[in-house]
Amino acid sequence: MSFAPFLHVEQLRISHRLPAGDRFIALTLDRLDLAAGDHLALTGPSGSGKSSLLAALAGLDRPARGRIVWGDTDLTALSERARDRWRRDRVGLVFQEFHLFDRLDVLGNVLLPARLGGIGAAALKPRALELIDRVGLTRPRQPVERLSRGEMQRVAVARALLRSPGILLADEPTASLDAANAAAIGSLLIEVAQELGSTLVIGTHDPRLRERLGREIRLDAGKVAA
Amino acid sequence: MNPFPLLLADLKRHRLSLGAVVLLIAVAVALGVAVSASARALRQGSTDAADAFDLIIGAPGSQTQLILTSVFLQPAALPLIDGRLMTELAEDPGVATVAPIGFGDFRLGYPIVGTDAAFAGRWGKLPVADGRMFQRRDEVVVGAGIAWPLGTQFHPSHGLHHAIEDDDDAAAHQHQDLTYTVVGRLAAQGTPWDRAILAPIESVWWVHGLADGHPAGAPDTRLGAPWDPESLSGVPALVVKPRSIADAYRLRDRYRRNGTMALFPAEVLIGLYATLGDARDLIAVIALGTQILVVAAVLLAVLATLATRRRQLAVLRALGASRRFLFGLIWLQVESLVLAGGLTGLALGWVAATAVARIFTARTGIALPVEIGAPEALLVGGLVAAGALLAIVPAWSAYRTPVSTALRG
Repeated sequence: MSFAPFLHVEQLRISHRLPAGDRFIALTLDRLDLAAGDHLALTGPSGSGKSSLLAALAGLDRPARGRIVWGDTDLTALSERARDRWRRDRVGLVFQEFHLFDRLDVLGNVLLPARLGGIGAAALKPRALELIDRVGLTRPRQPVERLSRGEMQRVAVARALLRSPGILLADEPTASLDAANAAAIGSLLIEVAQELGSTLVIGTHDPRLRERLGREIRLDAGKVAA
Repeated sequence: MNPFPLLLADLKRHRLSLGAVVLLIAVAVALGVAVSASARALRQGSTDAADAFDLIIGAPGSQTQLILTSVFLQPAALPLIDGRLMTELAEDPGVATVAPIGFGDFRLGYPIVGTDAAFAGRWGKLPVADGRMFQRRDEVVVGAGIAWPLGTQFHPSHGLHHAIEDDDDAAAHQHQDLTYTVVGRLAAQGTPWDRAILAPIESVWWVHGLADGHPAGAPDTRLGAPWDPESLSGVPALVVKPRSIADAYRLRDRYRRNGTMALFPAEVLIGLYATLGDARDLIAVIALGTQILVVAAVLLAVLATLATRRRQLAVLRALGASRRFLFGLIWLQVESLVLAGGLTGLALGWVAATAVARIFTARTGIALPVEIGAPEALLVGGLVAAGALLAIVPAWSAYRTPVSTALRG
């Protein structure tokens, strides 16, 4: 490696507890390095460990073994509280099912991360309005439950970008959209990541989205496929 | 951190079910508040009504009945005591003043109470609001609750249900021919006396064909003391205003024997309140039990909805919310329901108690000062505090929501 990697993962093992109490190993990954601004596609069938890896990269789960280092932050050494705060300030997350909050309008959803602490909503409001415009929405006061699915995912992308995160993680962001919207959201994610210089990791089935990202890691049954 | 936009969004999303929950809590609280406030108002109102009656002397019998009849004007045939006791009492140095109370006649459902002008005006405390005090034996003043115009004339009829302009039968009950004229209306005092017609005791005696306390041939304008001891007829009750507390106890002791009964209304009422208090305590316990059940039901409902909201909470965690934030969010949500229910219940309870008091006042004339006081505040405060404690249960459950499994699940 000629560069100091922005993301450095080594000897990773992620396990989950089954309801019966047993643990099973969801993913093992010997090594992964990404430079700042890299784009990575995680592919593979359902249950191959894509979501588990994304959750671990976001600091949502603590791996059973191994290290995940983002920049100078070793996630595996942080407490849960510290990971929450780190994620809040550094990570933008986009989900397959959008996970917007009904009865909050577009602006309210985009500003939601600001309600969770750190920089206040008032300070981030101009940024939120700018983002709403950037993702192609025109009515910040519209209730999100009246939006189309494509528009909902645009709101979710804007929400993920609120704190200009250096890390953008998306789990099947286009899987529940029609082809036209899937293409548009895929382009949007790549464009905004480029604009911010963010590192983008997307778990996806979508071959067209995969092709547009620079790198691909294919997972199968919890391991990197050959 | 600012959980309130999320809190509001959730309240809006579930406004019907949450509204029902708040209403449920409110009704349970209102029950407790209404019982507590009404009982206290009843106590205060009846104590106030007995205020002018320091010491009552009547014939031996039921103490409660003597109070109910003389203070609260509940109709009952009381045995009489010798009217000459009035002159005896008037001469006692420990007596500031003494007045007779005589009953028996009604006009359109309002009792005609015979007394003297001084007691009709509550010994100076109760002004005549309209017109003047009676000065002749065929004049009356009415309580504030009787709307008859001044100058109204009527014949007294004996007993509640006799119409006066009836035939010969009814005329037979009118022992003496007398036409009363309303000459004044007293100020309101919030007691059953507001709904009474106050007549000179002389006229009440005279109507019944009894000696009227003055020598034969005395003019109609000769009312009240000094009495002619030989012409005094029996009365059901005497109200005595002693000069001092020592005099009050001495007089009570003296007139507790030899064919009379003397009592302090306040003391008898305290005995009644004890009985009333038992009933109130019972209802209060039932109300408290209802509240506990309602809060338990609310808690169960919240825990049940929490299961369906695990993903929403997980999303918040994924967006960077701390465990504490989720704890606070859920705690606030439950507590705001309990608080809203408690405050609404307090208001509802006050409205209910006021409505009950209004009906009670319309029926009895006793004004009930309904107030939300410390006991009701304590009741609601206790509920809100209990809610604060119980809200920890779902809040803790939210705190422990596993994030990544809930996101996928």
